[in-house]
Amino acid sequence: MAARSFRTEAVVLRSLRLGEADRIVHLASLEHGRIGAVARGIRKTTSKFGGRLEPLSHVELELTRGRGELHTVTGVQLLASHQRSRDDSYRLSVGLVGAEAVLKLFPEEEANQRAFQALTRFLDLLDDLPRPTTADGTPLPGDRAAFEPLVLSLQLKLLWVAGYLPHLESCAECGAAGPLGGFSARIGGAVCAQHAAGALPLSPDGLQGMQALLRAPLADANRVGLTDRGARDCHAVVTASYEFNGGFRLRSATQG
Amino acid sequence: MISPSVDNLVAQLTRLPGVGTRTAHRLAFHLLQRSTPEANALADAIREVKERVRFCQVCGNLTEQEVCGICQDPRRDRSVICVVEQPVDVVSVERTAEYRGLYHVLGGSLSPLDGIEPGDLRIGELFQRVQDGGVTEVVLATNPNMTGEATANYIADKLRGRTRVTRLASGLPVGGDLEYADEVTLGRALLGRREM
Ligand SMILES: [Zn+2]
Ligand SMILES: [Zn+2]
Repeated sequence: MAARSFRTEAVVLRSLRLGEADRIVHLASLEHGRIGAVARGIRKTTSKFGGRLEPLSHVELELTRGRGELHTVTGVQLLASHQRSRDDSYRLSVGLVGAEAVLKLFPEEEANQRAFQALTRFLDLLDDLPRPTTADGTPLPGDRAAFEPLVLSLQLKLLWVAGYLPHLESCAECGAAGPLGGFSARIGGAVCAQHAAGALPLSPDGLQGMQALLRAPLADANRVGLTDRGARDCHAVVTASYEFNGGFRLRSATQG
Repeated sequence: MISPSVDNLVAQLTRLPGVGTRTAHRLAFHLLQRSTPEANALADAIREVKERVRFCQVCGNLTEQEVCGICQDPRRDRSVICVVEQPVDVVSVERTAEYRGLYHVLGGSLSPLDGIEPGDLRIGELFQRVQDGGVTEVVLATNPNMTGEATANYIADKLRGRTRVTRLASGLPVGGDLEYADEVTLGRALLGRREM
């Protein structure tokens, strides 16, 4: 039919109210990278979109190219609702970190299939990852630790495919094999003692943890043996890389 | 650039929700064509509403008094509090004529991506009302979307063990056909099915 209409697989990253009954959805799409689209009438209870365009939903979309930057959603098919992740506050907070990282790291209208696949894989895993419980099976309140390796692994992989983490195997400045005791977001990798001026301290646990998380598939993130110290260093590296390369901090990461 | 005053009016109008530049221009020209008393009536109504209407000190609903009519009404059931996001939601629940309890208006929903955290909503005030005693049930009637659900979950977690907490059932719109229901809504309806 209309030549301006197209289909793409996408994940809803964010959803903002627009006008009386519409929403703007920010999407990560397989073929077109990050895009924005208007879902008209979605807030009405009679909307044909129903609950299919909530954040974290993985969908097949039919879009009409708009005159401006925003497309219009004309059809939605649900591939995975990820309702399980939205229903659990810890899963949701972790899922939103992933969504926000994609939202801020990748430019609009620039396809990045590896980033998209990492995101969808991450959301599938998030639905199924067992929540930590006490001996009698009651969920541990406030414990995000069980999700930490997965969300760190996703963020490192996203930084990697965005081209911001070129080097962890040797000094990113001089190529020395080691020891590597620092991380420099400016240089873009681990650094040796000689090039560690202004770098973040990086413990052996942190370095090994990041290398292991980058090598292992997302599904194995919980099995690479990430220590608390390693997770803290990893988190610091991710935060510093966001700040240096994108000039942002994740809002969703400060909660919980 | 027509005149600085028109530009200013357009700028003010575009700050309204759902009003873009084009609509703002249309509204501005419409106002210019009205008689002066008519245009002034609008300005007066805005001024008056800002001077007279405030938030109820108890529930956060809109009122012209310190405490709103619902909170003051002796016939309302004071042991039940219905938690909503906005004053307009109070109007919707009242329209059902099914609810006789009190309300608590949060002023929005939690949204970490937009920087809206518990401290930005009237959540502390709700906990205080429960703390003060006499509340046997809190009904969470936030919107059935991600931020509304996140807000409901947060409040339910904090109130667990202190009072009974319920959530509005999610389900199918009355009058609709099953085949048109989306998977998420239908899934929710299945989870919330009841004995007949
Ligand atoms: Zn070096
Ligand atoms: Zn009141």
